[in-house]
Amino acid sequence: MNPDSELIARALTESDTDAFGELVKRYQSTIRQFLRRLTAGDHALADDIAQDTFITAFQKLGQLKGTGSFKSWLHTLAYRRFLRVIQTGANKYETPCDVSWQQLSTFDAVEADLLAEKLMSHLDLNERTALTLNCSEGLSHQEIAQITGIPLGTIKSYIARAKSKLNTLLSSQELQAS
Amino acid sequence: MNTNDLLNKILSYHQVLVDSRFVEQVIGRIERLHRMRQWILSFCTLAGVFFGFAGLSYLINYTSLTFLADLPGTTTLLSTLAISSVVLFLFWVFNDEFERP
Repeated sequence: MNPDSELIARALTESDTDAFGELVKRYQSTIRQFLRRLTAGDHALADDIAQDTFITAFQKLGQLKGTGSFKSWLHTLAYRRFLRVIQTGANKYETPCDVSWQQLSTFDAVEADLLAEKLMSHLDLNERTALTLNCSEGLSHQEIAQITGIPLGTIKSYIARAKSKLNTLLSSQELQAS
Repeated sequence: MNTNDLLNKILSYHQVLVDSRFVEQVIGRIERLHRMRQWILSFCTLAGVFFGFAGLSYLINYTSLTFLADLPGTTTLLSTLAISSVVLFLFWVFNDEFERP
């Protein structure tokens, strides 16, 4: 498998869309999943933003600095694109969705992702972003701060607050079920 | 399993979204944008060349008419040089490989 840097170089110097297509294939899942979490399960919107993200990435490949990874850079573009879209749209993601205890014990991958997306609707946008990047992507607090441009201390407090909210929600669901 | 582990388990990505149509759509949009950019560049270049020649012919008619009329061979030579320069310049502008070795 070609390393990212080689594919990026080919896409940059030869405008090789096949090389860039390989990068899209490689990172589509993580970017689409990330945006599905941010939109709390609006798959159509998430995929639209994901497409725009990759197109912006192709246009701005020359600006990619050697300091960070391509994946982190894609997340930064996706996050900024998402912010721009929601600034112009309604605040429909602020309505929390119902979560049932039965869903928590599901083994189906599709159901499990839908549940995680529903849980996101109980968090505000900054908490959603920080928690997804931390728990789902496995990024460090420092990396999240770089992607979002939010100070490190604030990121830590967003994650702690988000976890606390979800723990409370899960505990209440457990109580209802028992 | 403590609540932190449970949360991490719930929030991890469970599906791997691999969709060749998604890739095709992205590449299709990139190629459309690229073609549109080329059309705009070509149109602007042609417009520039057209107005350049119009201005040049205006100048030739009013300032160098007598000089060039005496030397028809010079006009052909100058036109050839001018057109060759424009073609070389356009080739250089549109060929990205000149910029990056």
